Amino acid sequence: MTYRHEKSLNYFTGISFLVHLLIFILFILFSNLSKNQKIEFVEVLPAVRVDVVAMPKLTLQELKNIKVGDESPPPESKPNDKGSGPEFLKKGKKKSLMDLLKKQANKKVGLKPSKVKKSGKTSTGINLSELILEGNKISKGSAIIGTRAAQANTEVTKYVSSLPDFVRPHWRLPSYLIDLDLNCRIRIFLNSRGELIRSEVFKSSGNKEYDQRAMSAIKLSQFPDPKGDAKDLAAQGKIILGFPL
Amino acid sequence: MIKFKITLLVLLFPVIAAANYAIVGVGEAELERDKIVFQKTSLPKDLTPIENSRIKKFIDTFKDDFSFYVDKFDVLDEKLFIQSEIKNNSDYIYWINKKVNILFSLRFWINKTNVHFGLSVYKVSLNQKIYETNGVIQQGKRLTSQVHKLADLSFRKITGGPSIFNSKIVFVSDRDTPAGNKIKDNIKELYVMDFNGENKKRLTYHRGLVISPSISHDGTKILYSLIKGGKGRKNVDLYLFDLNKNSARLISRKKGLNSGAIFSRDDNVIYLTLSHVGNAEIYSMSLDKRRLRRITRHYASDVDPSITDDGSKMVFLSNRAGKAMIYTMDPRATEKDVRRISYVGDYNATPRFSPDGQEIVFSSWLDKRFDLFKINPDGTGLSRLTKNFGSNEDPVYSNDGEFIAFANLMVESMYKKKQAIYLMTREGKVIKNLTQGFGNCQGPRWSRF
Repeated sequence: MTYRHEKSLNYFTGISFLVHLLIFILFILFSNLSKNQKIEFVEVLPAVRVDVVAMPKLTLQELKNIKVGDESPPPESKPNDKGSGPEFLKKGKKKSLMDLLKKQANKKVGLKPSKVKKSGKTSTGINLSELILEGNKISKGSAIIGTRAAQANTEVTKYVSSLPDFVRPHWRLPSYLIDLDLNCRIRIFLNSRGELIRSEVFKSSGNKEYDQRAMSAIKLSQFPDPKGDAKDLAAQGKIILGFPL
Repeated sequence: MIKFKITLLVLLFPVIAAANYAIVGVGEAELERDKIVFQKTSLPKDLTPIENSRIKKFIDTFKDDFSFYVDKFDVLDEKLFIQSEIKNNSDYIYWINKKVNILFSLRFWINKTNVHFGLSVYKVSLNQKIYETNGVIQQGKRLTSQVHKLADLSFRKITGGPSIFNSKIVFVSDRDTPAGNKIKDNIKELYVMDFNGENKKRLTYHRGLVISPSISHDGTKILYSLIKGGKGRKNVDLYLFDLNKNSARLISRKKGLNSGAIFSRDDNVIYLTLSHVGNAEIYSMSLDKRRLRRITRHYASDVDPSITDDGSKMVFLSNRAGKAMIYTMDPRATEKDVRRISYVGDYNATPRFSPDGQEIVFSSWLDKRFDLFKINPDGTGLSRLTKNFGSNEDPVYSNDGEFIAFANLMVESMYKKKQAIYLMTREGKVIKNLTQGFGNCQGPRWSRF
């Protein structure tokens, strides 16, 4: 029993020795082989993105003609076209709790004086940058579904955001003004039929001719009938058109 | 970008509206060409034919000058308007109704033997007289020069910026080479003309091939290279022509190329291509002591430099990529910030900066001819300017950046070709052949005033 045990021990020790020897030989062989391999160096250069793959076939003039051809004609500003404008939601006549909520909702986005950047006051004494800055704030909502405050807001939004389409066909500048990067804002007063009662410069561009051309564009425009909350806004001259922004 | 801003405002609108005022952006205005009318409000009776022709020339030159700005102005014929309906010299209501924005009111009278003029320029939209002057109408070439000056002053009052009306273009032509000369193709001389192609004047009499002219910023000097076969020597030498002295002097005659020279903004230093070291490299050279400073150092050839007015950026042509491509770099040191900006085109040539440094116009070999393209200095905005209009090379911006002059080659047959200098807007609208019937012309360079 002991003899057989000793035999198997020697046997396995020998096998183990041979296996290790084989591994050693293979290691030596591979290490020698790898020494003979050529080492290649790859120069890493910064990548360059090339978007153009060929010289343009069309000239600027040809591209302009294509663009002009593709453009749909600007909306004709005829007096009878008022009905063709976007339709607006009707406003509820009675004041209700929802209206009070609307006022509260409006207050929530009020401006925090500490965060307002200093800027010049407008001709009406209102700090314009404050109005714009308010657009950069997001207030946390408290309701899962929209209230009528939101609906009323949408109503005004729809009306006011439609106005540029009626002014744009008349908003033209000569080359010597178009490159000056000017900006003016015009306050407009509209009656319930969308007719311009008056307009005034809310913030001047500093260039009299530029302001005057913006005023002319407004005078030539035919606006749609304001509906709902937009009616009050338009009548009180609380709509301001930016030329260009 | 504009659409994005408008969208942004519309998106922001609900919140803005909550602050009682609703602001909405109308967007960028469309470009409107200003309608211009030149109105003769008073004309003396019993004019002699000479006086009549001088008055006609005075008005026509004024109209022609403004007509070049096809994207800015629409010059209307006075006859389109019924004079009896106009109440006075500046009947704003009448002109507003006719959508005329700029009114030139011209009065003429005779005093002794002189024809006098009175000019008033009105900006109708502002109900305002913006310029007024008077004087005696000059004769001959001085008359056109006088009107160009008046037109430029009026232009400045209208737009607030300079015009091309006083500018000059230098170019080379074989116009005065005797017909039948066997080496006609190798003889071209230096000329100068007004921006509109008038008053052409020959400057050099080398009987050699003048190439690559360039005019100084103060308009008093012209650099050019001359290839002239001599006894055992044929080199490309650099000359400087003094317009005040009406004479030329040799600036550089190193072995090989001495060409493509341009002035720095102060006109004291020039940038040029020299090949005396073996291959073409770009150098700067002080005009007083001829001190050289190497700007490019590469085994490939670097040629055709063009520099921005502030001297901070140079665009040039190099074949370091294997074929001629456009590169930019800072020329204030050697091989500083070299950047390839063109990656397409079989062979690009003559890149030139616009005066504001915002664009580069160049020619490129495409479909067996050269056509003109422009690109932004950062490699973006590649756009094509010419097509199906012969072969177009050597583009150069006008002093105000609104126009591009270039050499156009029309091949009529195997033995007949015509090369002329054309003018087009910076958007590629061809306006005029400036050298019609003036031989084969090329290498236009625009003065900077």
